Amino acid sequence: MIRAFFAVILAGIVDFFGGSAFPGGRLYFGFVLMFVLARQRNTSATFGACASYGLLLDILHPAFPFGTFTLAHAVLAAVLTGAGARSAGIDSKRLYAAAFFAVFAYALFLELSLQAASGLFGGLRTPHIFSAGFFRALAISSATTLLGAFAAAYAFHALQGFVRRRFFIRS
Amino acid sequence: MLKKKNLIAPVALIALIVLYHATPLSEPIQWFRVPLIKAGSPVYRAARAIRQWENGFFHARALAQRVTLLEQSVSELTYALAGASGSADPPQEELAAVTIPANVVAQNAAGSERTLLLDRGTEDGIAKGAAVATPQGVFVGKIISVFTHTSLVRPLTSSESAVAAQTSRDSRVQAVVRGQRGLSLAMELIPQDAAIREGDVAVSSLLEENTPVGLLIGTVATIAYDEGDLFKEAALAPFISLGDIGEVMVFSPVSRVGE
Repeated sequence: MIRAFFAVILAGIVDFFGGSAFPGGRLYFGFVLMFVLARQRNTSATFGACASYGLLLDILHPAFPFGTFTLAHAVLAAVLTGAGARSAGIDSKRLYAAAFFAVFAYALFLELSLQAASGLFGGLRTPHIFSAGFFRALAISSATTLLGAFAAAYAFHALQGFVRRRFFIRS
Repeated sequence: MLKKKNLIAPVALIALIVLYHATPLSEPIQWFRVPLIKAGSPVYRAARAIRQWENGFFHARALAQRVTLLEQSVSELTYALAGASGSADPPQEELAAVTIPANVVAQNAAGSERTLLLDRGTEDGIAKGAAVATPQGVFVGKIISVFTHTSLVRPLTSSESAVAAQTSRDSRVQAVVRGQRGLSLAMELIPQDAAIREGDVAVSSLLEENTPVGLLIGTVATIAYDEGDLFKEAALAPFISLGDIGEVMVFSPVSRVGE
């Protein structure tokens, strides 16, 4: 739980501050982490991660009314915990496609939540949300996020293996 | 019993949101923003470095050509400036403003638009509506929200942005520059008899509130005009891309500083 909390805070910081450097202008590493937790059927950690990530974005994002991200991620937590059992059954061949569609759906859901919040409570207006360029940006961002997440997971496993061999296994 | 336990966290979150809006709890929550921004700004700098490296790696040839063109443009402008310094244009009223240096710490995309987050706020004298430019004098946008330690900039390329502009060659040519879906700029309401041509530089006008005259906006790329229309319209090529912006200057009007 604590590990998930720190990982999601780190992912949130990378998503918020680093997203603009990549094609599409957005990153969703936080969601990938929540998706992984839901796939492991770790309900309390999934909810904690969603709430922490939403709260972090609310604190960092001054353009939208406070609570927009928290509420959106609370709804997401409910959806993810419900879908967690189903996603756990997806075989590894279909996992990449499923993960891409999940990230894309999350990105769309988040943008619609921001649109709804700014329409209802004021804040930054986000016009042209249904333009082709907007959907292209979301698709590119989703693909970039997944590539980054797989690269990070691979690097983490490689580092973990190296540390284990170097420091813990003596022949 | 289990259901009651599950309800505690959602209820606590909703209570936090309600308290934020209904009580002065918003201030203590904003305190968290400063350390988070301090922790995150190296990530933004690293992301900018990655972007610049990627640009250099994949677009080196195009960049070299662009540098040549820009050098040519700089020499032409320097020549024009030297000529203009001797002319007898009527003196223009300058904006009494305090320039506050700030750093862009994040860029956020929402819909098709982007906003820039600055690490300076009301405590540093920044006011809503203040103009923001790069240290080189390129107009970036205007402040749309100010908080204690941070502020938010709407760039000129945003669809919601509209600023009064003129051409550097003839200050009598007054028009409005609007953002185009966060990507480009269009100069509208140019009088049909205005002497404007491709390559002219659009700068901020005296008519624009809280903005110094002469901040660079863009270069006229194409001009559209149909017979019988009252106004011409020009497409502008912006001087910089949003991704390249790191340090900026905020022009806060003197009267607002310290309010």
